[in-house]
Amino acid sequence: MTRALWTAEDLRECLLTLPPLELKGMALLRERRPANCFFPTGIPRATMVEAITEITAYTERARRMGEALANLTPIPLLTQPVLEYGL
Amino acid sequence: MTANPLLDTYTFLAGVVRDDPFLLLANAVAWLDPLWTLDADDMELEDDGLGIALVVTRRAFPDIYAGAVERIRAGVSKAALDPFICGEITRRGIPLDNLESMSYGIPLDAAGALLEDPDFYRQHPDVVPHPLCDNILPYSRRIHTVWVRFLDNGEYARFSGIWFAELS
Repeated sequence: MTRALWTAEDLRECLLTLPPLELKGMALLRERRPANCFFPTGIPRATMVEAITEITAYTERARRMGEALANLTPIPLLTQPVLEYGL
Repeated sequence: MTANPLLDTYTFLAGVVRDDPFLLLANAVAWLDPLWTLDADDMELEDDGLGIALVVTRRAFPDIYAGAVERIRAGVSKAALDPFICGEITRRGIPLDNLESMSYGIPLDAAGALLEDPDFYRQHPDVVPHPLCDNILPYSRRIHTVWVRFLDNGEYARFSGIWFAELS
């Protein structure tokens, strides 16, 4: 097993390299949002249903992940030094 | 530059939301999945049938939920949403006359259980009427078993539990 030194800054930089999430609803907002109201109108029904289905699945995944993270069992890091939080 | 500075502010904020992925995502969720924070447990029986129907369809029939939200955003009235949602759920084998009846839980009619049928209990000797009240002594201490048909995949499952026992 490789012994690696990871800092909080390393983790942050790693996460920042991930590309931003792009959902169909976000693209519709960016491209079709009129200047004088909050939400686009006149979008074909099939396109809207597709975007709603995608974003609903996304919010459900995010909700479940949040619940899972809130109930994580603590894992003792016996071989992984985290310098910022060393006791 | 417009004559009304408030409109300039709106344009500025709209641009910020458009250019920030996080804000754009939040805006998209508010637009397309407005019930994302709600759960069935958050709904009260007194709430209108449409709210409960949206919560239920979001979990059990996401495609129906998507169709309903699309119609809401298109300005369809509540009166027109009722037959749409009921019709779509009925097409999946769960007869539903109106959204108000969704507040009463699992539709027994869909499972072939017509409690008002005078011969029902004779034909189903394994089923007994049993009042379950949480504020009348003595509390029920028997094990109760219910069969549940899941709305999303149509499967049946048996659940047993001791209901309304006093907490010690």
